[in-house]
Amino acid sequence: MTPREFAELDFSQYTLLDLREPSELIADGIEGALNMPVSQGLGALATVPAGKPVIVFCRVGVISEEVAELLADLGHDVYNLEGGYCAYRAVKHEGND
Amino acid sequence: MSFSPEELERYTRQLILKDVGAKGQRKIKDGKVLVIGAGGLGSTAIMYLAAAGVGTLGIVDADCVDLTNLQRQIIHTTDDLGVPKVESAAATVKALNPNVEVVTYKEYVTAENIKEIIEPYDFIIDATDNFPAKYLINDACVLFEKPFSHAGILRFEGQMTTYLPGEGPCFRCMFPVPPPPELSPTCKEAGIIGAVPGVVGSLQAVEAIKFLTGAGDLLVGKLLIIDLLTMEFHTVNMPREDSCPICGKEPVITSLVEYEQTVCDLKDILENE
Repeated sequence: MTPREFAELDFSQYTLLDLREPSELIADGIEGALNMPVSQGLGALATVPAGKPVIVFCRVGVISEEVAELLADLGHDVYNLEGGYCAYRAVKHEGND
Repeated sequence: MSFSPEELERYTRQLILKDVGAKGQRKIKDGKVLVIGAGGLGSTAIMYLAAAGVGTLGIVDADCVDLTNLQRQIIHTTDDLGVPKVESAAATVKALNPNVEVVTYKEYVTAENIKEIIEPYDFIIDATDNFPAKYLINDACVLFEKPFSHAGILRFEGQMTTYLPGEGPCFRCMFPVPPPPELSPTCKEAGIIGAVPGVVGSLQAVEAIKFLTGAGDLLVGKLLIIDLLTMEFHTVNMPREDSCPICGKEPVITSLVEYEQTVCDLKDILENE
């Protein structure tokens, strides 16, 4: 999923999974996103709730690609945010120039 | 295949690595690797394969743990003295990673048993300490089409190459006959410091993982030579030899025989050509 497509979504229809460190979310994150820092291990992936499609992201979209595959294996309808949160941030700010 | 939460947690650090990832981990979990020898080379090869989550790990060794082993064979401990090496190795694997299925063979590989032993495996690691075994393993892997990692160490030096059936040279392409005994002492005769086979065994584990996942470049057609006194590592390109006694254009070795003897006979054959 491209950052532009992502920016236009109604986030309430999705489970957002943020793989970054908690401090990064505090600085700049999306309200309501689940935080599962990769540094703390991927065991928690099993607890991602079913029911809504999942969009997973990290800083630049590399690690999240692997995690998206694992979530797909677990039966989720999952999307990887290409370019990660950095790319989304760039798109977000385009509208604010 | 999905991984359990325990597996996801355990393999996190390699699941996020591009060259492994979810796909690679599945291949590792489906993989079956045989390590022939649970000694100096085998210790680190076995331990790192277990840690990485190889699905099935076969371990072959007929010996029991001896105090003189422990300065290098770190898969065994002082509590294992007198215990068969395959049992001690299996216990270490189980403690490290219970997800790995271990199959043990408390025997030496011979011309009679090797075909059946290697049959179920995707990749074979030669972690043996003697040339007859190395030639036997090479010949069996060539004849029965099994990829394998050859390695040998002597004091502070090591060598390593990887054989893929039908692709690169085999061990005999590089070394058609064994070196004379005076140039090939065992660790017992020559001496060794543990970290040396530890390094080479670890390299063999990496080759096996790369084979299973498809990552990187294997040492096919290449002989890696390392000297840990000078810290020189270099790779020599080795071609497949048309004249190779087993994988060349006119093979003289078409089945396995007893190796001490064959090796001498072969020398005669080659010298009389």
